[in-house]
Amino acid sequence: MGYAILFFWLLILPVCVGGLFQYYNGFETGLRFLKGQFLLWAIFQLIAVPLVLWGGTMENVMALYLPVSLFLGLAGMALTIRRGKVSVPFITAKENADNVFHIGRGGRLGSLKSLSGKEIVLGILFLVLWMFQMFNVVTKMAVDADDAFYMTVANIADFNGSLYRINPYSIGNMGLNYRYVLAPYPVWIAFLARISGLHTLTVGHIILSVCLVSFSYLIYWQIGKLLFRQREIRLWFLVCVCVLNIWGNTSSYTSASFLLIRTRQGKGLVSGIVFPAFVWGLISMGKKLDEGERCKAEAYVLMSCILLSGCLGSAICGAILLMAWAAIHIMWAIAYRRPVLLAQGLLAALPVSIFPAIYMVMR
Amino acid sequence: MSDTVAVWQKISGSGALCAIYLVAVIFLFFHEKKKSLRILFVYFPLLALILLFCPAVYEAIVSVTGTEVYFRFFWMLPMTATIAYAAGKLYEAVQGKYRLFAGAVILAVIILAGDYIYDNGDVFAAAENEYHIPQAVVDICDEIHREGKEVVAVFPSELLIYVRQYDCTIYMPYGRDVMLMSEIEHPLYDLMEKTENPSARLICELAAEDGCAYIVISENKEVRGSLEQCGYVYSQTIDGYALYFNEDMLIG
Repeated sequence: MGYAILFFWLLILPVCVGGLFQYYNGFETGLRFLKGQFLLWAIFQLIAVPLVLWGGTMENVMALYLPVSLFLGLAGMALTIRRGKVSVPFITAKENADNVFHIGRGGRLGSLKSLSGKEIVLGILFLVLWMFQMFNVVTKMAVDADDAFYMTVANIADFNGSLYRINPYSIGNMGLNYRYVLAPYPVWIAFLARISGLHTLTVGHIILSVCLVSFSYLIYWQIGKLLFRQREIRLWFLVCVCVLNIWGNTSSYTSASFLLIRTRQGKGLVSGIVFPAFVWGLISMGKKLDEGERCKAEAYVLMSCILLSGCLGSAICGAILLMAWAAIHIMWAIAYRRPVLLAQGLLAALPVSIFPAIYMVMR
Repeated sequence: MSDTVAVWQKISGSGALCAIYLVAVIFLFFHEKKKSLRILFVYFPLLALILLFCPAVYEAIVSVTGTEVYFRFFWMLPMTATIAYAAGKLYEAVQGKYRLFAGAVILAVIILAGDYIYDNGDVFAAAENEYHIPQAVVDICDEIHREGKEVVAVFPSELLIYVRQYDCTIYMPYGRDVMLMSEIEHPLYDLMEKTENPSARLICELAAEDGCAYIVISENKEVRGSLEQCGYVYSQTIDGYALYFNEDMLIG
């Protein structure tokens, strides 16, 4: 039952929530999932951090986040049905031949029949590399001593509801540490453990590792779709990313190392998921600017969600993302001679900048 | 400058993949026409590298964040996406039957430059259970767990980091913080981990002072005297670890 609940929460609900975003055609499941998941993480960050700072408990987090998320999912599906994109959810939909994730009349079989020989080879190669990583994620124990803090904080939050108040290492209480309380990713793990009834270790080491590593490849697939027109090249791009991850352990500080070894930690979320999504968002927005168009408000909202998700994983990485966001917008404003881009970027960054500001105050 | 170079060396390891990244950036500088992609994959990373290697920027950042997290600033560089994008453009440029061969060559270069992650014996071991922690920790914690009570137990250092991840009702007199931070001293930790042939009586006295109901000790650990003479009773041996129990120390 616990696995079924997590299947709903980690896979179905984000797709439903993604319906709140207008910025797509058809029923692109992958894109909806991506947008929905970042919105859910952003909401969690906005709910959990105040509760942690003000002495709230896990019960308070559940009481707020659970209904808000479910409401967003219902609202997303209601919008989707109202726009006529889905008559019966997940059964009939407009076809989008450009997206191998589409669900529709003809469905995946229609897409598969149109694959060329090279695409089949590359597709199989990617699947083999992906399944190899999934096999290792499930059957291998990745040892990292930082789990003594993060996974114990998650375990404590799940077991007795205390958020960052009990010393995870030994015994006694703990004062609020500004480096950690502003990035309550372990509390999100505790939330998943609570709703599913599974142990936080099972959720963190197995479930999340499987889901988030796969999510990372979904993001890179979306990047590939923006960079290359041909499906064969997109598949090749994805294969390269796989190989760069599997052979990316040139040091324990690379993003590949964090993704495949420390997925259950906030740093793994940021390096493997948030930074690639940030790049995806910038490519998407840049494409609009190259075409002389304006980026819609929805794009900025989504980027805010991605930046907030970065704060969820790591307070410092949230600040790093903000710096990169600022630098890119300055470069865009100069390159496209549109100073208004600075104001738009600043507006999107405002909700996110609260967290580095609190960090500086608490330090 | 030497501090930032040291950080870069720490991240880049052998440096081969970083070299491929820089080659990819240069390739895109000459071959990428779209303004937005030039900004993202060429100009922004070059600006970031110049700033991150600047000593003044380094000092300003580490004064806020500390030195141990400076490496995360290099995650701003979209290395994976850049290398994969450049590889994609190269692959796209080759036509016909040579394309897959070219692809195989590119992959071989990446593999030779990189480091296979799953042969890292310091990090990966076969999972013994669904929790991905040593089974010994699961068995010992299940044994000493008391419903509705808090148990304090001293564990050997190799099990220390896992105990409270699995069961947070089991407390320890010292944890990973003592192992990490030299300014934190704990006499029981020094005795258990840094002393050869420690005195059993001293272990028991210090453990009792810390309210330990259990002493978990490797059966291969040599101690002078017997823990059983000092108020702790031998309970059992689980997965190579002997458990000694003092009922008077149970809380609640």
